[in-house]
Amino acid sequence: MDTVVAVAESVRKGDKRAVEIAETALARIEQRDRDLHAFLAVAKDELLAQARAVDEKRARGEALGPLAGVPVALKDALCMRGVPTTSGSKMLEGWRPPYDATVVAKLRAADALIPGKTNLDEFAMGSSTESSAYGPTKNPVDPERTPGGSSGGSAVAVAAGMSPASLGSDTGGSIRQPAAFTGVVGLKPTYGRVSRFGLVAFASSLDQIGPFATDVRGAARVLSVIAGHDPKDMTSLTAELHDYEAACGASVRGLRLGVPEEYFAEGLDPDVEASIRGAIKALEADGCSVRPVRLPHTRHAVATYYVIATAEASSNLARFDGVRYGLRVEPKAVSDQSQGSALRAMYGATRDAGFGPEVKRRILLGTFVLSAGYYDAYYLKAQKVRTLIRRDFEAAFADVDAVVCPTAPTPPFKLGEKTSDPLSMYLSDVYTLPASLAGLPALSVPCAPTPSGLPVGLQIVTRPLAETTALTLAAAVEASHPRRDEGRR
Amino acid sequence: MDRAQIRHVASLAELELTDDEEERLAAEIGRVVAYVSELDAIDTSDVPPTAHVTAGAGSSLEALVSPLRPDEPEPGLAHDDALAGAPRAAHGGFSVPTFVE
Repeated sequence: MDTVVAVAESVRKGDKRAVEIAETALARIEQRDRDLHAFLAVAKDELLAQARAVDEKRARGEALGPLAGVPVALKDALCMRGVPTTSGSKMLEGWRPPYDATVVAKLRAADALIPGKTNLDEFAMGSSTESSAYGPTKNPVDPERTPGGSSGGSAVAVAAGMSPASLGSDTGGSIRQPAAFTGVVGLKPTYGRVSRFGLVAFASSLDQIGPFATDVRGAARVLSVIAGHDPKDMTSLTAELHDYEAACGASVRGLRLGVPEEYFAEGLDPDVEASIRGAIKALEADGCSVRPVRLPHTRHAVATYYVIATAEASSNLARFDGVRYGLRVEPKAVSDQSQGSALRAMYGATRDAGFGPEVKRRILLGTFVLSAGYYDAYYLKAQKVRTLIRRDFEAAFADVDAVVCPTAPTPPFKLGEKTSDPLSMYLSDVYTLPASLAGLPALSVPCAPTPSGLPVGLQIVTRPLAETTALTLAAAVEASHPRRDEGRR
Repeated sequence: MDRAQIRHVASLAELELTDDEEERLAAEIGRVVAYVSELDAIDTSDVPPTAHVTAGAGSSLEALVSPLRPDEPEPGLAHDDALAGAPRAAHGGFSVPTFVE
């Protein structure tokens, strides 16, 4: 599969028509996705119509956008007008959004092609795609293993050569961890860098949309298209954009890297550690300086995150009430005849039928930590620890330009391995949660695979709005770790 | 966490659980609550809470958010589009079960 930049250049030059690229993508999805289940919906007619429009635009001599003819698959938590959007839940089965997410509008304006919607954990709550109401996605490297989650479908669409890029969303690692597990590049931008308008909300103070791509430059180009202020998202940042693509060719010489000892502690797989240390050594050989840094509150990130994210989720998911969109279940009988009871019975029946077990767990935990008598002890406490986690990074960035560490503590685990123990699944996010809580940009780039051939991702965390530094370092890692082509045939 | 507590929380969240779900979720959520209770041990006296990274606690992003857009009318969602996804609509509105006598 060609890279994002190669596809766009071939269309711009006229070497390939967008329609040919769309047809190749559809054939590839047809061939690979029966086994992998990365897609929940393939928007064939829309895709071909978009491709024809790009070809006609070129024929008229008009300038083409930076993603001309480039397929970019969408995580199914992103709204695209008229195309079914489920967020991996029975609650939204069959729902067709009446509008485009801002990122979708921006992709269209850049002449990208959207092949369809990709699988995810239900409402993005999970680390393996196994909580999807529509069944798990499989890892192309080893179909018995998870591709990670929650944006597992978007990662696999890229890893298996079905789309050179895709969009995911990352609340606690949902872009970076699947990127690491499937051997692709995944970038979570600074909180607020990309508009969340049209993203089905999970935890609003953490959610951020970002790209997956086969290579670093491809991720940079997609970021440059989707980033920017949006009046429709009150948390989107007004800061000017940087030249993300130029950053991919910049020198790493003199950049100061911090290696947090807390990320190399108990629970880190030795093969993953060897690969990560090798990648850091290679950056040092390229001219970076490396020093230890302390991020002492890392070990409290899982507890902090699962209080804050579930509290926000319990509030966000209150909107699914069987009234305005999505599923509605009429209760069989209403025994209680008091005022309002028929309405509450409909809410209860709808929400019991529409939400899967992981979503119910999180709504209940989130409701509990916000409830009278527990708010201060859990929710407010977690918000204070969140400040300490932010301060850890601020102190580290006084001395270094980037923090480098593993994206995940293990290689991709087996499907079914963690589904019976929610807490063990939560703990698999331990390395991605701190940057989410601090709102920092963080990227996962493939480094050397394990001896048994499983992908490993190096995580690069930088200061707010310093996506450029992360891209510069990632491009250097990529240059010293040539991509394997396994699972992409 | 016991079943009575789960029932109370489920009622706050408008979730109607079966008996089996109540029992299972009480045990699972009890374990997670026990785990997150580790936060108790951290000294957070004089630490302000972070509700949002773009505000407070010395955020470097605070100057970069503009929460209000200009107060100018613009077209919103068309009436029919807004109702198109409703499970039940009647008389140009969303239809709900009776909730007042």
